Amino acid sequence: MVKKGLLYLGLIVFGIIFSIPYLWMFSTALKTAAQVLAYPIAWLPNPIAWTNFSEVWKLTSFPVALKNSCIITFSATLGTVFSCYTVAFGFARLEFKGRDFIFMLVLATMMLPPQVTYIPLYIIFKRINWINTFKPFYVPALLGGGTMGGIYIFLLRQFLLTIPRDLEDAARIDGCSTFGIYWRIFLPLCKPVLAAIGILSFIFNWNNYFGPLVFINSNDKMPLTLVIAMLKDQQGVQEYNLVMNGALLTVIPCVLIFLLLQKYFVKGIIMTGIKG
Amino acid sequence: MAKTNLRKNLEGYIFISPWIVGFFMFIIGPMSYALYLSLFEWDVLSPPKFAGFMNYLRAVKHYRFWTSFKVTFYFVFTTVPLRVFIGLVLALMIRQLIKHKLKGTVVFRSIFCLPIMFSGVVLGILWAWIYEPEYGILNDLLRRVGIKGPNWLATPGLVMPSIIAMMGWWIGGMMLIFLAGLLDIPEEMYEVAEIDGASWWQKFIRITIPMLSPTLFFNFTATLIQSFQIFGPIYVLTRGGPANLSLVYVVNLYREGFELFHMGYACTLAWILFAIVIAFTAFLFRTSKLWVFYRAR
Amino acid sequence: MRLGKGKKKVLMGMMISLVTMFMLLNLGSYLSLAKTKIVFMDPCVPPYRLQVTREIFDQFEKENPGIQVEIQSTSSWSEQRTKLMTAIAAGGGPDVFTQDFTSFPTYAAKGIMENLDPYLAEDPTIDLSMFFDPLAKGCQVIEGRTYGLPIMAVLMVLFYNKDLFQQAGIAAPPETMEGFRSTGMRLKNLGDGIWGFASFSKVKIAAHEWMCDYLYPAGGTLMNEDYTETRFNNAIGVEALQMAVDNVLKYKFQAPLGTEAPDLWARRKAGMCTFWPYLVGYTEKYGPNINYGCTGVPIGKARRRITGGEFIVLGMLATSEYKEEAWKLISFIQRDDIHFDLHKRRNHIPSKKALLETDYYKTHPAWGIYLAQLPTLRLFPAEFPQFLDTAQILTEELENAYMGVKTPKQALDDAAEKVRKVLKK
Repeated sequence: MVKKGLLYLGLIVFGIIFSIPYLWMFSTALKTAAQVLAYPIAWLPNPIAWTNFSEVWKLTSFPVALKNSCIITFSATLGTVFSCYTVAFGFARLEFKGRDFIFMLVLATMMLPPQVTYIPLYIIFKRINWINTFKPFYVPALLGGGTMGGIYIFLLRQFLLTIPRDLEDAARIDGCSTFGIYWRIFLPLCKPVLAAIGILSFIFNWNNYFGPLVFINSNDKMPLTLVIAMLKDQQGVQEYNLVMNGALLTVIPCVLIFLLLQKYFVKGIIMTGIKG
Repeated sequence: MAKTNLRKNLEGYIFISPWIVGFFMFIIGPMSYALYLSLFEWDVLSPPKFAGFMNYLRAVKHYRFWTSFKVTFYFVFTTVPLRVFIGLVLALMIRQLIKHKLKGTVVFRSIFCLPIMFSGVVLGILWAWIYEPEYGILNDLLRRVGIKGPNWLATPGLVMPSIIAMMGWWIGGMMLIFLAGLLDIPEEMYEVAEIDGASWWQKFIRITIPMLSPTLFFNFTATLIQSFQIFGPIYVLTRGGPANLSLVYVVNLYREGFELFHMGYACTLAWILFAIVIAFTAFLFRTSKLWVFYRAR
Repeated sequence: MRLGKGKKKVLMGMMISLVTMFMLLNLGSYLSLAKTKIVFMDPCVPPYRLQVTREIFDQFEKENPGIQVEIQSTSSWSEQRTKLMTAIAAGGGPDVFTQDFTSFPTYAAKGIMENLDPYLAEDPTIDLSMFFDPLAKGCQVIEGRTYGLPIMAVLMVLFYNKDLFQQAGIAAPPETMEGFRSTGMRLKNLGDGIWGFASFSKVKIAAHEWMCDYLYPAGGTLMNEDYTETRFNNAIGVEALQMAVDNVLKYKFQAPLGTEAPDLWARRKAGMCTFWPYLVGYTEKYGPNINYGCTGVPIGKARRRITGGEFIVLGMLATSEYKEEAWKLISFIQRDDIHFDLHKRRNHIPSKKALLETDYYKTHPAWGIYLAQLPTLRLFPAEFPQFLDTAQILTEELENAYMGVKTPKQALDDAAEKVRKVLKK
């Protein structure tokens, strides 16, 4: 009893501390411009400016930007998850010459700051006419997860290493091929991690700013991140309430995907019972 | 039926082939170009001028390089333990909820994960405002309790702690991964321990930590690497100032390359960072053999 | 099947007329295939600016049927710079683009921008004398050759809150730096969290702020004539910084580092504020009913008004394939009527002298004052190659002084030392 109470107490305290910043953000998203700078500080918007949503919608051509964000993010995330799982399986469960050395290379790729790679990448992509298309986003994703790929491969490898060898041996005795082990046995076991990677990759791609900035030129191909940054007013002044509102609208798909994939954590527990 | 070595090698390489192709196309290319450029003075607008190791010498002599070094190390060695700790504690609490089938799992998980769903830029804007000395909500809260809040982002001793506090909020990803790792620990192990009369502390030290060690290792390493490369939120929050108090390494790199037109030098800085991070990671890997426990090998 | 001669002729006639009809019908598309497309890059934010620019360029396209203009818009000057740099690195780039003045000399010196003198000589509709002198001179960066044309002036004026002035019993805004301090302190004594003067902001770097507010009025300068030595740490400079630091730390009427001047101004917590044109729109949005006035920056020991600032440069890419068409666009933008339309509807300050005479700018409470200061404009010395590095170093040390970490003399001497190292290379 006491333990349950303490647990909830701890969670609620942390919960409140964590929530204050974005509750403040939601409140700002619904304020009128005049209210944003009101003093003493207005914690709650009054009146509630529901029109902020439609203003942002109009100003940013929201549907178009949303479509672009979806294309970039879904293609890149699916590519990343699939490709990272495949590669990590290779590193974790298979033996081949040079494996550990190449894995070190994978880790090394995580360590170069992306800013310097953008200009060379731009030059490469320009030569093959990928600029102003979505290819710079999903092709690297399919080929090893792109910039964040190293981390996901690393994570999946750690995870796959915790699965006991007996499971694999038993499957092979039953005549299962490597591909079968990869596809039918280990894949379901990885659901919690794959879900985690799916969420993280989705969020990363959804919020990717620098990439689209460099590789996309025309306004009708810009994703939400770029378009929200343009919510400035008369003299190029950042409109706080609209920016927060735009951020709010932008975060909704992320939250939906998160809620959707959360279920797999639970499913993973059921699967865990089969192991060991 | 034993596999021949050739067959094994082929199989392995087929599985990692996507990565190999991507590696050559999108990583080796730009990285070696960056290494090549680090030997030149290049302002992007005119052809590069060969400078040999001048850029490297320049880095070592430059005051901003050492400042960014100091600031980055301070940042990394405080945020990494802080974030791992908070992420672990929250994950443990959520796991308790799941294990005992208590209500609120989805709610609390969402509350803690929501911060990471916003982009770094939005984060910076939000926290810049929270820390605003006159009208930010932090000082407003303090005012209600009678304390006059300081100028968080412009007082020498407070700039970095404020930034570190903001990073402590951004632990959703870490928590998710810890949670996945915790849920992976077979329930039976705990049940057996309970039958033997183990206390919660013993269960934690003897079961949870060792079984979680691969995940712990991952989170530690990944956060370490990411912290060395932190850019977005800090750039938006303070631009690296005031007076370079919050000048983390990559902010300096960006400034040199994109604001001051010293792109060759920026590539040099990138490769120096790369070397440092590799050194740290290699060290972590070596020591990991002592405390990380894998079941498969 | 054999056709008789007559029938052959008829058939030929039909075929010819069919082909001719086909060609005529498709003439339109052939014509459009023959259109040249040029690219124009500029930060057209917020969306209404993009719309205005598009409308004005549609008019250009009507007047020049063979040319199509594509607008590439970015969301800030630093974004513009990044995109421009990446495009140029790959060997491309927009044909016509804008850049802020502090980066412009670097671009010109590196050969990115086309020398416009030959075009100016041929084109009777534009002449450098049409622009304010400081701006025109600013464009002649390399040995007197012109590499761009000025548009959108950016300078600082003094805003003052008439209500707060009335409350404090002050009749008029200060004309001199001496009066400035006493005015500031009287405003500060109103209490209630009110500052006499606010100037620090995220959108300004400390070096620019100090140069405009304190150094230039005192008659100081950043560097010497041939940019080989620093001058900002001489006696005048140290005194100017001491004055600034005292206003913040000793007399405490200037809002300290870390505050946002536009915010304070819009909340009616700042009696005076020096700022770029940015503040006009900010006030309209966030402090709509403030009763305010504008005037030039106070006069210091230099005994005449010196207004610090810069402007935006409109230029042509040196490697453009469509230079003639690009020039047509440039001269179109600089035509009196279009220049007026563009600047008025996009809410920028124009750069042509002729517009001083228009009613709109004569009577506008804010824009008019900005425009009237242009003859006293003193540009940042962006033409010396290490300006960007120097401004960065100066900003860092100024911030040290404003936080009280170093004394003004210490800060400026340290900055000078570091700049010396940069100059040596």
